[in-house]
Amino acid sequence: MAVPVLTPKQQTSIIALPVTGTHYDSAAAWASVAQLPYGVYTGSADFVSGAVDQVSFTYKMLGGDVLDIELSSSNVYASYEIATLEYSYIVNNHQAKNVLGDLLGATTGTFNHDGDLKAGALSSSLEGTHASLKLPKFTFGYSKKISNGLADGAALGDTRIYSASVTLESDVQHYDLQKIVQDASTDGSDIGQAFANNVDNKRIEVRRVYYKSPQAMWRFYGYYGGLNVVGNLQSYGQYSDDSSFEVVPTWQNKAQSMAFEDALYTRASHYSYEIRDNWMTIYPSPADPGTGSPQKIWFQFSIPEDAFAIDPTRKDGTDGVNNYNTLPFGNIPYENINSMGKQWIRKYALATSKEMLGQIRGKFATVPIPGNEVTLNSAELTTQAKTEQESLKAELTTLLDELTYQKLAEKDAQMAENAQKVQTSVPMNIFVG
Amino acid sequence: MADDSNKWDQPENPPPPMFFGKKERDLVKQVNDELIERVIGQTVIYYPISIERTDFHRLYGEAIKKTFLPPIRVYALVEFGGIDTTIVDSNLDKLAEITVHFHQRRLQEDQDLFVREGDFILYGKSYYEIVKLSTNRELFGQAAHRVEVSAVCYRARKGVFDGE
Repeated sequence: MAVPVLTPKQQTSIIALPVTGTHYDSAAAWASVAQLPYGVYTGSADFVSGAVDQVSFTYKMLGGDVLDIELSSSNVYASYEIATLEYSYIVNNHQAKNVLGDLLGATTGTFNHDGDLKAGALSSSLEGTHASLKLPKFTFGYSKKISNGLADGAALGDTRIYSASVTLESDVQHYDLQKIVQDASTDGSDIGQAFANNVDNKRIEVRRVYYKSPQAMWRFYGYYGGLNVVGNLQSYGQYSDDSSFEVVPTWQNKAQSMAFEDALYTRASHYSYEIRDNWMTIYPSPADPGTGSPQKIWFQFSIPEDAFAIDPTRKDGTDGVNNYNTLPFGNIPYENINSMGKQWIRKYALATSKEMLGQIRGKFATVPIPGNEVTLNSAELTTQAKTEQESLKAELTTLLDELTYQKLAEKDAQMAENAQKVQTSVPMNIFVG
Repeated sequence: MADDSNKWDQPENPPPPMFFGKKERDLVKQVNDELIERVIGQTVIYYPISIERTDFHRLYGEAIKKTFLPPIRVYALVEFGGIDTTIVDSNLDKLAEITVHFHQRRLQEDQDLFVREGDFILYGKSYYEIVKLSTNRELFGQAAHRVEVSAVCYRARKGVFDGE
């Protein structure tokens, strides 16, 4: 008897991966069908082609032409997108290691939910290109910052040094420098000090304390003296009567003035000071300032800038890149991923699809069938998928770690050294013309 | 006495079962179809007896010649129960039994076939008569959804049924 051949029509839509994905005329139509979780790359025709081909790849690799793969095309598209984003993430991390030091302080921007730069100054200056694809200039970025800080500390950099003075009062030893400067700063608009209104209760750093004695020059040249006429050499400065003068040559004037300054410095410098917290203490206690002790004590100070202060006269990068998070790296455009990257993405997307399939087949420990139960290969799929994903990520990360700019420089140095060693073995005594 | 605080509104669309809804049931059907038809591939030919066109004996209700509807090839899982030899009144008799496990949804939704006691099955080269049906396995414990229809069948003696 002939066996009837019937082809029962499925009344329930089965979900099985088709042989290939489907192109649509417009990116919008494709995106609505593909239902990508993020849709970062839906605007890229190349990405669409890659994702459609990935369906065929997955179909073949998981044996779809023999048995059903309980996935939809949309699952594979999503895997492909995730794989591309993962690739972008790893490569951007690598590039961050390369260039963060040089980009510190560089312009950054704001990012949308996909991680791409929003319209803004940087987006305009890049003109649609991506910072992560550029080879920045080597700027010693962070080293320079450190150097600037050290230079500022040594008063060699950008730090402004201000000068102020304290008028000593008789029998007053303690002077609150912070208060004196703050008060002068508050009133500074009237008296025109450079630090007017700049102190703003910030702690000042006193860098030098000194005093000058204008009386010294007055006494040296005296009200009866002048060049080529000087007081009695033997007694001047100690017992001078300001009335005995000699005509001397210029060099003697010079030598004597130096001796005189030195004598004054030595004799009059018995005043000293000590600074603790805001307070400067004068030793010994000044008595009769202007006559018996210095009239004024001068000091130089600086006002440490707030680390985030912005210089109104020039951009100094305070608002720029400060660390990994503000690096202006968007998702790497699909078109800028080369063949090695594309192959990595295919493999990773396949592993992700496999994981999805494992999740689907693993929802039930066993699937009931007539008269029995069947256990699907969920555990194997999931384990394999995880292992493959980890392996791919580790391989790429290791490779990129070997290719950082630092490592490349090391390799170049090694190459140069090796070449030099080879050169030493070349006989130099034979000339071949 | 009506108590307003004790009233509740039934939603128009009740929520699906928390863990196993239509998607899960469809997946089970899909896996079953694939497994039974493309992996295992056991088939039987099902002969539905036409009650309307078969000439029954008016007193005993039996029909020597049975009229059947067009036979249908059905994928099912067949459990061969072996052949028992018995001696009745010094005569040898051989009784063969099979249990056919039909995938209920495939049968009823896609093939519009309902298994009945009294219908015949061709398995291998022998005809079997369905003598007992059971649908005792619920899908995920849901009363409205059954996994299978199991049919216990005895080999028909020659002359009882002829599908040729």
